[in-house]
Amino acid sequence: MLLNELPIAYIDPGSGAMVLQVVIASILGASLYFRRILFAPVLWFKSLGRKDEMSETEHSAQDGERSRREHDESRRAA
Amino acid sequence: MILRNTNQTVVHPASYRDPAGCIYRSPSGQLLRQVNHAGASDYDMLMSSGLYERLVSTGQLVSHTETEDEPCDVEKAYKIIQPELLDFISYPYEWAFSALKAAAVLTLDIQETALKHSMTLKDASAYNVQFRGHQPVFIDTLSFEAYQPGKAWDAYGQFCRHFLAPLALIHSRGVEMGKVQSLYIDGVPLDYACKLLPKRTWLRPGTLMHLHLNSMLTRSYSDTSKPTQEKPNAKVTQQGLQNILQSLRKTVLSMRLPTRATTWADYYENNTYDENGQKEKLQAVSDFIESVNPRTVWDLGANTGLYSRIAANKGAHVVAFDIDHLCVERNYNECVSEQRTNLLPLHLDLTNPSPGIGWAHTERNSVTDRGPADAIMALALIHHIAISNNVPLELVAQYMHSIGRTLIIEWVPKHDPQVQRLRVGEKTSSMATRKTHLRRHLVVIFKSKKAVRRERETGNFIVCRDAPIPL
Repeated sequence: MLLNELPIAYIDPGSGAMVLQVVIASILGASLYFRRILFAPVLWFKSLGRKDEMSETEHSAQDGERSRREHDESRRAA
Repeated sequence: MILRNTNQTVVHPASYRDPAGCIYRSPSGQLLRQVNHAGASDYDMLMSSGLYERLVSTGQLVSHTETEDEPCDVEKAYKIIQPELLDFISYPYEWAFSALKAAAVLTLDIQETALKHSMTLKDASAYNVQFRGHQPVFIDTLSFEAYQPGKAWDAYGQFCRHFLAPLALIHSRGVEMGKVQSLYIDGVPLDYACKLLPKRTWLRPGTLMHLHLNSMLTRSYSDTSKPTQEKPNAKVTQQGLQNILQSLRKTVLSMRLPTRATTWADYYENNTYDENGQKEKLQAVSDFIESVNPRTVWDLGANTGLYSRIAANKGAHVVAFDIDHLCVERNYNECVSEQRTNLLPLHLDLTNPSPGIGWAHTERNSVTDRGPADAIMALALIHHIAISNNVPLELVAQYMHSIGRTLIIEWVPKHDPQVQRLRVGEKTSSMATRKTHLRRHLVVIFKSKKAVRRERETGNFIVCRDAPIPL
């Protein structure tokens, strides 16, 4: 009865493999962190470029919208 | 052990491992899975968290239905489920290299999805993956358990042994290393794998971390000469686990099959058939499949599967066996590009086929025990077995009968250059006499078992039938 109540592990995860995961997770976490810091300026410039593109497209979209409105108004006046 | 219908409950011999449940065949012949009370909460969580629907909808997990059938162990039973049946059970040491990679990626995908649903895989055995044609599918519904935040992945070491070690060995030492998997049912031991791997694998971050360091730490913690160490309290965040899974995936995907010229990989481009010969062969196979209308076909010596596809196109589920790893790999990759779900290319050496392994040889079946198929195709194959390996034709006929209910054999004539090459120095009976002998043996063997409905011989093809095929 007692044996039936004991928790049974399905597989032995292995202490070495468990410790290694802590080590690897730390290494990978640190490398990702430093990669982010290293590439931060690059990403910043990229995001600037993207903003410029965005603003250009926004401007052109706004221009388009304005000209469409003017066109509609002139048609309505006619 | 194949769970054959025996009018009584038969528990699968590999099911003793999991306390959460077992697989068994019911007296009425259905293949069922019992969920034990020990696995009840995890099973309920799988079903209610949306993880089951998600994995089944993407084809990554076999579906099941809950039934009211008799349990195999009434005291332990919580629920009985009937899983979707697969046409053929295959094992990692038979898969193409890319199939082993696909199975590894599937396991990682499932673990990532499970984490998003607050669950985790409690094991990562390669035997939990099977194939629907080219598509890998996870078959163990009871492998999921609730994720405890901060806990490292229990199955990490098993994943490295079952997938990463054999992939790295094949990548570095050649495709023949895949066979090592059949020697170790719980994956290739890491210290053994690391001894075989070349020094340059220390320079690759993936193999360095997941194999070499893993092996060193595993050895250090299992060293019996040191005083007993307490179990470490390993804490890993969920983001840390995701990073480990990403790293494992990157390592798996970086593995490549070393390509070199093999004897049979270019057989269809450089064979001895003229256009008419090829047409006649295609017609003979097509006629055979149409007349037998088999549900399952085993194509022995399938090469890259030209003739397997005739049977597959007519709706049969085909297993295409070949001894040449590169042929199996090419066939698998073609199946992937064709999105075939009824053709499975596997590696098999017919002179030394996959044995039964595991406890009492019954956990993983021999290839013979996974038969018989409705139809066997042995095209341009027998001369390799009979001449190269000196297997008596009577034994060839007996074995063919043991694995299939019907059979088509192509007998390659003596002027074939491949036969000429094999027969160098051979002075025994002529090929014509051999063909007569084989035909006689086949007639006797197929006749000795119930009624032979038809036996016919056309040109170089011998077709044999046993008792009527159950539909």
